[in-house]
Amino acid sequence: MTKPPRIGPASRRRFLTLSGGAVAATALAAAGCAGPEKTASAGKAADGSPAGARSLTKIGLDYPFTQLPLYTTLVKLSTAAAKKHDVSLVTTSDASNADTQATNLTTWVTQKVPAIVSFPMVFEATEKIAKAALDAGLIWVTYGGSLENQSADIQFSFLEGGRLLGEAAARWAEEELGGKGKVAFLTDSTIQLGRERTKGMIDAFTKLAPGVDVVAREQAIDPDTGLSKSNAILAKHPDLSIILGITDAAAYGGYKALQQAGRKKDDAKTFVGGQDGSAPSLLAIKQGTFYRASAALAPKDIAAAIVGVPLAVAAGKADPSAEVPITLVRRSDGAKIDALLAQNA
Amino acid sequence: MTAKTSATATATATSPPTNLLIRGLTKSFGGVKALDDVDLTVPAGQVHALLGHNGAGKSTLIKCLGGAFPPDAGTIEVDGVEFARLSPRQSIAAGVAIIFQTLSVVDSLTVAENIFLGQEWTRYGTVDRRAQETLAAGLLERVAASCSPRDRVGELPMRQRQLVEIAKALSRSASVLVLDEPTAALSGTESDALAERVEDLRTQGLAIVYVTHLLSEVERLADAVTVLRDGRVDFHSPVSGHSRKQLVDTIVGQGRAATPRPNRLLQPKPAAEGRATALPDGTHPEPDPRSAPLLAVDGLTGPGFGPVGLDVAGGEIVGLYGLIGSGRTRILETLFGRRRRSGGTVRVGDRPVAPARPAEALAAGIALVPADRRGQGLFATLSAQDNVLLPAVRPLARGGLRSLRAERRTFDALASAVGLRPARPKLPAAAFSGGNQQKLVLGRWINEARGTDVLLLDEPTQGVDVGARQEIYQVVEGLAAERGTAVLFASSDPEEIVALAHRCLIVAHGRVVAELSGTELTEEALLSAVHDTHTPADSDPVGSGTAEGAP
Amino acid sequence: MTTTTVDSPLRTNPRALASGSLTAVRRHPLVVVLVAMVLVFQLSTGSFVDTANLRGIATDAATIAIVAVPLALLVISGYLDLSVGSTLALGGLVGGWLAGQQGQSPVVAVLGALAAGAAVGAVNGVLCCYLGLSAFIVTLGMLTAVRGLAQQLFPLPLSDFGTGFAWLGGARIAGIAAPVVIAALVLAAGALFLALTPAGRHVFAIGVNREAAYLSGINIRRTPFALFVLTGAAAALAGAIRASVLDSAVAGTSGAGFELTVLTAVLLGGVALTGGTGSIFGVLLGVLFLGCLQNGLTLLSVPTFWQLMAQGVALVAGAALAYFGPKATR
Repeated sequence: MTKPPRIGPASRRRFLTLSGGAVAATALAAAGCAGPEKTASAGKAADGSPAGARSLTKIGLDYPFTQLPLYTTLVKLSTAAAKKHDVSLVTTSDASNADTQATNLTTWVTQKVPAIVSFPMVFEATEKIAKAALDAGLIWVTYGGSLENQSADIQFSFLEGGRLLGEAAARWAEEELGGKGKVAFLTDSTIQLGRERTKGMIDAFTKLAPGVDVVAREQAIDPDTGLSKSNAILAKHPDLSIILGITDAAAYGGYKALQQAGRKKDDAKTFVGGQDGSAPSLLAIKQGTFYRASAALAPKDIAAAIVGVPLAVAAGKADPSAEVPITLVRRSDGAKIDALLAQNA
Repeated sequence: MTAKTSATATATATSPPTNLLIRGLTKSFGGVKALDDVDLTVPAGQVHALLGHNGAGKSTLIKCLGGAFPPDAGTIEVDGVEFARLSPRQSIAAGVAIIFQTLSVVDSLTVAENIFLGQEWTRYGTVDRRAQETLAAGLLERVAASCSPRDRVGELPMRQRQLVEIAKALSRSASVLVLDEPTAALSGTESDALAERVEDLRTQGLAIVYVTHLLSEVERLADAVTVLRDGRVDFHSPVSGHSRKQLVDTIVGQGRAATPRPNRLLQPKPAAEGRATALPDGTHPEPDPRSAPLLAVDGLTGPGFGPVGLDVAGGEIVGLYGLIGSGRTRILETLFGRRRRSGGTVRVGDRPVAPARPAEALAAGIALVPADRRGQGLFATLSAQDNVLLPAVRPLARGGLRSLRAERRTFDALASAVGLRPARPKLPAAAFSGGNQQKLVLGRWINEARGTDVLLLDEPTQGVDVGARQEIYQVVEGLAAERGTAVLFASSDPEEIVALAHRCLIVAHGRVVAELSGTELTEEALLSAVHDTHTPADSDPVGSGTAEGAP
Repeated sequence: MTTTTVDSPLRTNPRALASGSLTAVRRHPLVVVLVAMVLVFQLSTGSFVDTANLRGIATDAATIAIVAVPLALLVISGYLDLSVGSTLALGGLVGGWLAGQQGQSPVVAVLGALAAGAAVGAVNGVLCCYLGLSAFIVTLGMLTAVRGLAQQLFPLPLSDFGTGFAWLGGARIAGIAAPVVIAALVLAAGALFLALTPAGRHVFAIGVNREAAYLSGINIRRTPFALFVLTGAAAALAGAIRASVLDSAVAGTSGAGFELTVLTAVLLGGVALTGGTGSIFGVLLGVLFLGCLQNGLTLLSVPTFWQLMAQGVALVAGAALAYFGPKATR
């Protein structure tokens, strides 16, 4: 797996600004930050060398999008993972507010929380705090990107997730529809993560299935919008065969719209796919419906990275950073789906 | 029309410079002529009284003068400069100053800041406070105001606020001063003081247009009088040589003041409930003082007043006369349950009543028509029908749904009972004149769906034109005479007390200090009774009676 | 073509009809905007006035209408409820949880949702009507608090509510989707309430002049309190419907921003935030305006940011016309 492209500072600022109030943006971000493999190894490495440079007793997890289901899951899994290492986990409650986040992080630095894992809402605005943390001898791990001042980072490849979904859908179209049909994309262009996922998804699909008509590219990241936009698209194109969503939530709205338009739950000529691995979508995939794929991040992998990366830094490991992998989940991946659902439960 | 020729004659005959000359002013709203070929001439150093019903065109005339409306035809000449239409800015620049009933002072600013609002004296780009205050002090002296330039306007009594506004007009070197019912919110002594100021300003050479409903003010102040009716000049004359009777007749209309219109539509209640019956000639019977009182108040006490004891018999109309801050509004509001009492008993008939809310008072048969019509009485944007029938909608309803037919019938009956004009159920209340608005509020409590034994009225004809005033008196008298309602009303106008009350209680410092009835009940007696009890008239703080100070 | 119109029998129609509809247009200039918008969308897309599409619009607009009606009554009486977005989420979650996790019948699930919403409304009502706190502050606080409560109770997304519960959002009654039928009933009830009940008059009176209403013996607390409870219940019902349609509900994001959508519909419909004026017909127009606008822009495949701009401009234009229109035509 290649190193994912780093998120440029300019785009992050934009992300910041936009996500300031927009729930849409936060939902996206939330979605974006979920999955790993390298993490697991980092965790193990830390495990293996307990007599590192420093011993860590406390990790602060600062995940600002508290309204997302993923937040609850991450806190639960990370707390459990930390406990295994005899580390306690503390969390902030930023309520998706960049100012609150800055205040909370500053408090942690002042209180000398020994390791901070933070998903900055505004990357530029967080540089100073990160520097203060490093200056105070604390460990700073950046989540979802990277800063100038940091001990390590936890990265996700959003482009990759989009690409996996796009390719899967394109291959299905070639096999099942003979390379013909109509596709609608539920996209996001308001924040960087969304744009990366959108680009990965659309580029991969159109390259592999050039014969399929792209009939719509509509902004939608939540199920309500996904539903109403899909309804509108279906009114114009009742024969729509594929809906690909930037998030599972939006795609789920499309899935419901198709059903309401009279499509049978297991229609063989219909394909819906999304990204994130959210529970309702995973269930639909498992049940063998035309919701056929989700590019999923495993919360357990993220939790492992949240604990493992700071421990690796504390242990003085050479390459402590982690990249959380994204995998495509389909009906045939029953065990994986069950595992993901269990993590969410 | 003869009146109009005489107006022109007066104008040509007078020698002093004419500050204000209005010729042929016409203004229509949606086809209805609010002003129709109106002439008005006011020379320097004269007070010209402008009378007429609300809706007769007075406010339209003032607004054309102030630049709020462009006239359709005619000219306005101020200090020799002729305008076909004025913008508000031009009007001020030309030297017109209008003091509206609702003052336009800013309560949170000081006196000096108010006077120079919009024309601040600046020094190096900042307001030159000291210069403004010095100048303001001079202007305040000119209008004999007792406040300091640094006082906050919101803390001043109403009369002082008015003077501040007049001082503001002077600061803009106004040559035409329009006063729109300036004494409406003032007590008797305050009105006297204002009259002196108006006389001063006249000698200072201003042309003053004085809008009023009070004939006593016309007699005292005016050099000439113009009466508007339906947008036309109905009567115009120098004041001297005209009796009050003549003025009343003209203003009220042919013979209307002389013979009260019998209240045909106010049907007496069934005999069992009727406490008094109308005499065959339609006049109200003198209530029998020995009969048991319908409203009996004993030792009523509340914050700022009491103990107060009074009785009102069925069919009797009792006045509460007192200055602003004397506690008359508080007494009424406490009886109505709007204010909390701290002691005393109230009985309606044999039932003791202790209302904690107006709804309870209403259930016990006590109703109040508040003084602050706009703030407490009227639903300005709702229709006339909604206004009159609001408390009756529920009693008239059948099976939880409104009975539209019964409502319409009740409205029609009420509208003609109170003489509502126009009697259009759907017209918003705000579109009616002050007098008709008051009829709407009053009408609420005389409909048959809700029994009212005791009617409390606070300043029943404040801001009401003379004609409507007579009609309101007739309605109230009719209620007392035909339904046996006990009426208790508060007023600061001696004329009104004499006109309406059978008996009057003088209120001062929250107590009933004297009682006048029969032949003793004269305006002079009322004024002297108050002067005996009130030492310095203006010593009362403004805030002492919340509703009383409001315009 | 013109001659046919002149000679058409329509000309002989009673004048009253024409003047009647003219009055309606004067009172609700949004009608004109709505018709113009429908024309433009139909001419440019060719598929706007299409049974399936109109059905979609109606279903989307239904949940907005269900909440907009009681909210409009509340605003007419001089109050405001900004907490409906969170109440919607809570209602959806409670309903879905009862139907799915608890295996309760759909009726119990809906009743549970209504109870949860009514409880939120009751808290709003007590604080605003009986304790006299500012409705803006109270309901803004409740917006956050109820969201927190929903997330605390249901931290994870719920789904799979069963076929019984799906009836609420998916059933067809005489060919019309259940949410649309419910919305129509709510609209009719609201209009009848305003026009034909004494309490409807009281709502206006309280909104125009609270003090005068109080002095007229009207209970100025009970009626608005009841409206708060109704608004809460309606928001929860809308939440249950959305949960049913989507067969899923998420505590953090369901109904986020919904309060502003509904308020926009209410205000566009000519209900004044200062209280005392408004009509249910106006609210219906406001709801349809929002629904058609969103749908039409999607049909036109307008790029995202242009859609946002177009939405904003259309809203301001609609509001401006509603404001200036009546005076201009008078």
